[in-house]
Amino acid sequence: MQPPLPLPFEGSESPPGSIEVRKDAPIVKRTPSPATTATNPLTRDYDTGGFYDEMFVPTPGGKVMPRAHYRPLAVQLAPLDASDLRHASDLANRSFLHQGITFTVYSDAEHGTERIFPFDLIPRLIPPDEWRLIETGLQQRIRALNMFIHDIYHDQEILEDHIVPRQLVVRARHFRREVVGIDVPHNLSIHIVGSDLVRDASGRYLVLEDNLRSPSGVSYVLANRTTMRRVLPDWFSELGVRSVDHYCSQLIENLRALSPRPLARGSGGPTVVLLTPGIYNSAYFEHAFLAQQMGIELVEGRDLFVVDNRVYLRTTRGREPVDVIYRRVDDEFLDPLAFRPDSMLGIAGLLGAVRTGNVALANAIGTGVADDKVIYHYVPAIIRYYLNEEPILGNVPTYLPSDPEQREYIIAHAGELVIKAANESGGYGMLIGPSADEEEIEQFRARVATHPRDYIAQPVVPLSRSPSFIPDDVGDGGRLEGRHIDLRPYILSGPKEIHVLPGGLTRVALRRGSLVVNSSQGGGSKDTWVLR
Amino acid sequence: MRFSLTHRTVYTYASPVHESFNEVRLQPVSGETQTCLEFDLTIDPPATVITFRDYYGNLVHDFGIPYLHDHLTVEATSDVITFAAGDVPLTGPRGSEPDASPPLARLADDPLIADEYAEFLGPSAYVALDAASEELARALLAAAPETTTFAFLQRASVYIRDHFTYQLGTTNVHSTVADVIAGGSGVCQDFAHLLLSLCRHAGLPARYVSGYLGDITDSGASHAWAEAFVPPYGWVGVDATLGTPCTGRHVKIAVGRDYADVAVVRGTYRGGAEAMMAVEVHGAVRDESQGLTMAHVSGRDRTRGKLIQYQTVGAMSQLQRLGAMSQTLGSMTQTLHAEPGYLPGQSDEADVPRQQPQQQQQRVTSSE
Repeated sequence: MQPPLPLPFEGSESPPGSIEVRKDAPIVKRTPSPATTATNPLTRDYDTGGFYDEMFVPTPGGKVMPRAHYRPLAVQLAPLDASDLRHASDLANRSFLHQGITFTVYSDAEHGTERIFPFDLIPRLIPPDEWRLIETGLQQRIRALNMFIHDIYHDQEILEDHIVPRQLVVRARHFRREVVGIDVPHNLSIHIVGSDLVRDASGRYLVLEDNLRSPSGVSYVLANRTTMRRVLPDWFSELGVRSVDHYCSQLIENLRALSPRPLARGSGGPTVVLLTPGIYNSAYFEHAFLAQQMGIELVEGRDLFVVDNRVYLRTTRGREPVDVIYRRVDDEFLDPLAFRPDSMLGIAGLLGAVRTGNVALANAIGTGVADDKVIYHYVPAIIRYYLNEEPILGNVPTYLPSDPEQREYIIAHAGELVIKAANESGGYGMLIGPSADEEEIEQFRARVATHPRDYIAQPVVPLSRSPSFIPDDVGDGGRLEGRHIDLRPYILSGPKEIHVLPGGLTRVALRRGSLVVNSSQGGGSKDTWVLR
Repeated sequence: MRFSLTHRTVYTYASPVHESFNEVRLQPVSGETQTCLEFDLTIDPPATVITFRDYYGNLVHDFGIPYLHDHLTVEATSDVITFAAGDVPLTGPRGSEPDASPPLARLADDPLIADEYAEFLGPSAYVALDAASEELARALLAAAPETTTFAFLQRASVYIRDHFTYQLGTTNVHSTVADVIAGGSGVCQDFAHLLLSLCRHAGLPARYVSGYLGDITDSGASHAWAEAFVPPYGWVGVDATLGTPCTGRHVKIAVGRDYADVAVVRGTYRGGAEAMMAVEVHGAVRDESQGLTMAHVSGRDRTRGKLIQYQTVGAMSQLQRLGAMSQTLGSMTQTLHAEPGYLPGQSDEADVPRQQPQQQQQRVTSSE
């Protein structure tokens, strides 16, 4: 078992070297002055660049003005100058560093692998009507995907009806034949989702990825909010910002509801644990944080064992039965008997405990089949099939190389398209045609031709932009510039309702002109405010 | 034909091991070609066994032995009737019946077949569908471009029997089709894999079968062959080792994409000790005549994956009270494979289990 971590965000004692922030003394506070968007040097030269901008609309005079729901924020920004924002930005970034809120980049040998996730001060605001659309759209999508996964691992009616080609499912890398026929509590396979949404040139929200395995990043949502509240408390004053603080309590409630023996152990309730691959995992910080927030044990595979198809936790007081495992370990590492025999991260015999219904996993094994980018193409059809409803949120148009005509199109237009590996995540194994050189494009052409099932192609979506504070490289100046963003809302799907956390992780491609927002590829994040 | 079969696998460990978890596929199927009248599984030391049907419809017995033990014996006995005599094909056209299967080229172009049987057409762990086997398949097709599906299947199996040498020890349980083609020899497992790759290259869905030659009385009745989907007959069994269609001698245990899906024993355990494995398989003809016919089994199997049985054997709870559970020593994980590759009449020589050392470093999985 892991030693308990120091409380990362709250508590009276600050770790050595941390910044003292007194709640009664805001760091950046200026009396509102007559300065406006047009005269403040921060925003004077702001250019929306022809993209959909979250905050500003261009005026006929070549200037910009804020959208209605951003006006209170514009008023707060008006009296500030670059040095104020630099100061606040430094404080925020140092606060993340001191709290150890970092992630791991696997491919960078030169600069080490631990990084803080760069934080951008300017929040992204979502007005209530847009949020309602996102919320209902995601609820609909998750409901349908849950039914899809249950069907795929039971009667496969959607395959018999030829809505989704069987060959795409049975050849999906994350299709787990080992769990076919296994029933899960409440027929719920997906419990925690982090969908990726983007907005196109007209501001329409589109789903880019579903992320149904073990999406990470929710700890940044909570940490960003805490940091914003400390560094810029005044900015919240005129805006009704919905809280994200209940995420962990909602999560633990949903996890407990999965327990096969809800009334066990007297009044103690079921035992829930969080299974992590260990300290080398890129999201280990998040695992520790969530376990600590929920008051459950953070365990590795070696802390658990199976006897008679029951899972037990090794403790200093002897063995303790485990009812629910929130696992952040990939399917194929979960049980060396059923999956990869060389896995040291899992628990031998775990699948037997799942099969006999003695333990519940969140998310269930095999949800990755619907996460496959080839299956993604069929999600609108999946929604129509199970719910008999039109999808509320659209997909980004997707071309499948497994279809010969589409393959030809992709190979001919590789330079204009985004080509993605069907089963990779985190921005690995991806080609962005317009910004790639001829050699890379040629490589992907060849790969698409030889492994059509393993790739998809999409047109380049001109992602919406949001102002980011960009400090000058020299001097202490800086200004707001538009940077491309996406949105990852977090969804908790429980037996009673599907809860979409009002907020989410807005990821920013901080490199000028870049469309890749992944943290592993030089992206940052900003706080996301859903307005009342 | 009716057979009594005994399949005994014994692992002995140099020092006690624990947390042994195993899946065995030993119970012969009951279906269109045979019925299993009786099946007994004995495990020593005693264990809790759960039984379920896997994705391919095979019966799997799954058990764990958490406490320290120095040996593991798994013994399966079964009583099986196959619905044909020893010299009569079980599937496909019988006797003088004409071959009613469609031209192979037409079957291979059928998009419904390609979709429905996708996993038996694509590459799998042992059947990579590489260039060497593709060349062989192309040569076979070129020799008879107008072939019917069934004729192709027969020609492919005869080709393998005639051009490859049956020889123990030239390949092992991990050998791939490429190894077999390069070496020119192998055992029944290898020939089945080779036949699978020839069929799949030609667009003919094909799957692996593990089983017994039921009339082999000495050690070594374990066998493997292939089945291909040949309309209107359905799955047709062909033995590439003998170069003939399967007959009443062929007792089927399990099917899958290749050997990896049907391994007789799959298991892991903890403890530093090396394992010695011994396998004994006996078949015996019980009754030459059989008058049983079975109702035709059709439709998709809706019971797969479901728990069928959950049995607890009492001896274990006693051992737990003795405190054996609290001992946790060593940290070795091993995969055990029982090799099904034995030719009739030859004994199973030196089948040494391969020890797979534990990864020294913790693996890091990617996350989104």
